[in-house]
Amino acid sequence: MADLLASGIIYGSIIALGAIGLTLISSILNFFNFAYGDLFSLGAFITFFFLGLLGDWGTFFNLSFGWSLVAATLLSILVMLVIVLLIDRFYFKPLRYLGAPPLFTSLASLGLAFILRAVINIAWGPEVRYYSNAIQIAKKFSFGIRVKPDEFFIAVCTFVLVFLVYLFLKKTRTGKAMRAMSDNPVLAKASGIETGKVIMWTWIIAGTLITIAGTFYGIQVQLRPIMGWHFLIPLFVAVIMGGVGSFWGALVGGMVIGISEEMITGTVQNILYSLQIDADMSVYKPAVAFVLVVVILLVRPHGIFGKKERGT
Amino acid sequence: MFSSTFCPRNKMKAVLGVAILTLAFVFVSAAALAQDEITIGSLLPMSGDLAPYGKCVQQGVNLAVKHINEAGGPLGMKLKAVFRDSQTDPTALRDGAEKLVNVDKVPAIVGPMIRSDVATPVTAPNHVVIISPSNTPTWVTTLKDDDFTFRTTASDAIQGKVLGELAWELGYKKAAILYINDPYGGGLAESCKEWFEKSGGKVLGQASYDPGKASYKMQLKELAKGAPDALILIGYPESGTVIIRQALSEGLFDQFLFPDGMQSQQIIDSVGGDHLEGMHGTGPGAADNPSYKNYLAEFQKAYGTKPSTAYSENAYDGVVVIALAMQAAGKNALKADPGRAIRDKLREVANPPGEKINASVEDFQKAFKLLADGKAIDYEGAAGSIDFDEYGDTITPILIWKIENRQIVPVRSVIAE
Repeated sequence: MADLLASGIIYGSIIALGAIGLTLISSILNFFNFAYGDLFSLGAFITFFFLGLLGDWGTFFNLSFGWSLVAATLLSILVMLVIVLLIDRFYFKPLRYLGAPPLFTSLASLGLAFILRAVINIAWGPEVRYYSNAIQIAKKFSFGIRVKPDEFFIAVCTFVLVFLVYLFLKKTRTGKAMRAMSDNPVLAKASGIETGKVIMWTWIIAGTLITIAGTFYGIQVQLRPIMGWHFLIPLFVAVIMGGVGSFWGALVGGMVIGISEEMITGTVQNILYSLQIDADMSVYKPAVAFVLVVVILLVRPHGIFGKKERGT
Repeated sequence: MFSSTFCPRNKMKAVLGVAILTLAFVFVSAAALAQDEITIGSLLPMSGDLAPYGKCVQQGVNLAVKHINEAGGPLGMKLKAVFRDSQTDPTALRDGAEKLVNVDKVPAIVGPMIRSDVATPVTAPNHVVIISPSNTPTWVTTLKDDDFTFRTTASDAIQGKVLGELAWELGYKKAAILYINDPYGGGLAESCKEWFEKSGGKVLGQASYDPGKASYKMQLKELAKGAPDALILIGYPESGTVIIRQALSEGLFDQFLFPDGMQSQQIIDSVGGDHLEGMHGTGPGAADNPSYKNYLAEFQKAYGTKPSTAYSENAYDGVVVIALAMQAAGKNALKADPGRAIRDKLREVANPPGEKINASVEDFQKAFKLLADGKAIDYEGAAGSIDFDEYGDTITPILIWKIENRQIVPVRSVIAE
């Protein structure tokens, strides 16, 4: 059990990284960005591209990758920031100026998602890729926990990143402005907050986090053009479960999804076994996230950490 | 809303528009006939889980089209293939079938690779023949298809038997089965389990998985209970490699057994190292016949490599029997109801009696001539004898393969009933 909990936390941390960016976009830009999953794939593939250019620089801490992947990720973040800022400038900004309602903008982002995925398919083809073909043997710890060095690296990096984003939102002027705008956009504008700057920083944070999350997913699982599209479901479930706009909600929501996807069906299976009911629960694994979100929305319609709907 | 004077004028325009469109259509159709071309469709997964298969099978289709045209083409027409991507996704598959039927208006389709049950409700009522190169589940036999659905591969009732018996033969006493949560995986897992246990083995655990997930640790840990000797992994390469990598890195399994869905060079390349050396699997075909040898040589000549996955030869045979059936049907029947004409002639050209036709340009030339003279032929395909029974099924040999020096090498072929 402890082992599955550990791997749930690692998967959950990748979801949380993505969900934090998504929840910021959802609340500050006020639409559901369906292209976020494909930005996740794009980030991972651009890292793959730079990794191919840089070659092998040796590894550290027994990881399956090395300094070249770290450098490739940093380069990938830079490229991705240019891409997301250009997308905002030429795609979402005109929509904002037209006064497009959130539903319209969300649908526009769905179109963008298809475009991005097609670009990935054209550039890299549909084949599965790996950053490294070497197989890491997991290290044994007490309580039957087995963790690969890569997974340890992913978990530690996630917590450092989350802490940095938290500090940014809490301590800096821009961060405070972002929170203010997420809280109440009308009041924020009335108080003289520069919305353009806040939106730019939202994209910068979201773009950085999603590139790193995509790369982590590539390290942990594999690279596929479709992976980000499938990853949208846990991302949105985490955001909605935690409460749209809530930083801690996204973090906790991501962890809950990661852990429950790994553990719930196994636990139910064991209960069924002990009741001597012969049913294969693994079939229902994909349903876990949906059942969770339904239950949480019924109990707390505004999410775990979300604020009650404000009057407008 | 509309004024009374506006309405008729609009109607006139509409009528005129339809008339012009109809004329244009007739003109275009006439032009197409004048060029003497005939188009067939191919519905293959060019992306998604089965993309490696789709690409290789497409090469098989293109090779067959090339050979048929080099032999003069059916009824002297030029054969063309139009491809649609089924994306390894039932919704996209249905959409692709609709487009082939309604937009491309093809009389016959080679494909889909899986889920003939999704395509059949679109194709059968529209009199379009589908020949799947690889849809192995047992239930394909009994689809309500008005006899328009065929396949050039053996049913999983046969592969499951060979796979189960192979597991026992390799010395595995206890095994676990992890299968993809789709009609292919479930059916094959059942028949494999049945025959493994009939041989004397014991299946300790059985679980399903959904493709595209980040982790399969839960299922793998569950299945590893009781220390089974091997994991029989029934799935497709994309997520299959994630499962193998995870099983190895967690130290849960190091012996694997694979069916046709995993018979792909990609699993060896993606897993890396020598972890899979000596693992066995089953798959279609590789009958030791002149057609297959000739097919391999021609494939090598055309693409510079041998086929990277299974089923390209089954697709090749699909195209060939369609072309031969067109020739047998004759121009008039083909003009009246092309799909039905092809369907009605498929068994005549593929089954005995008649002169044996192998897979080569010379033999296709001979076949076209024999058919034009009203003589009977019996196509012996690259994937097997290709004799369709009353359900449109064929019995093709099952290949047992193993991984040696990071290559899939054939061990032997089994013809099971």
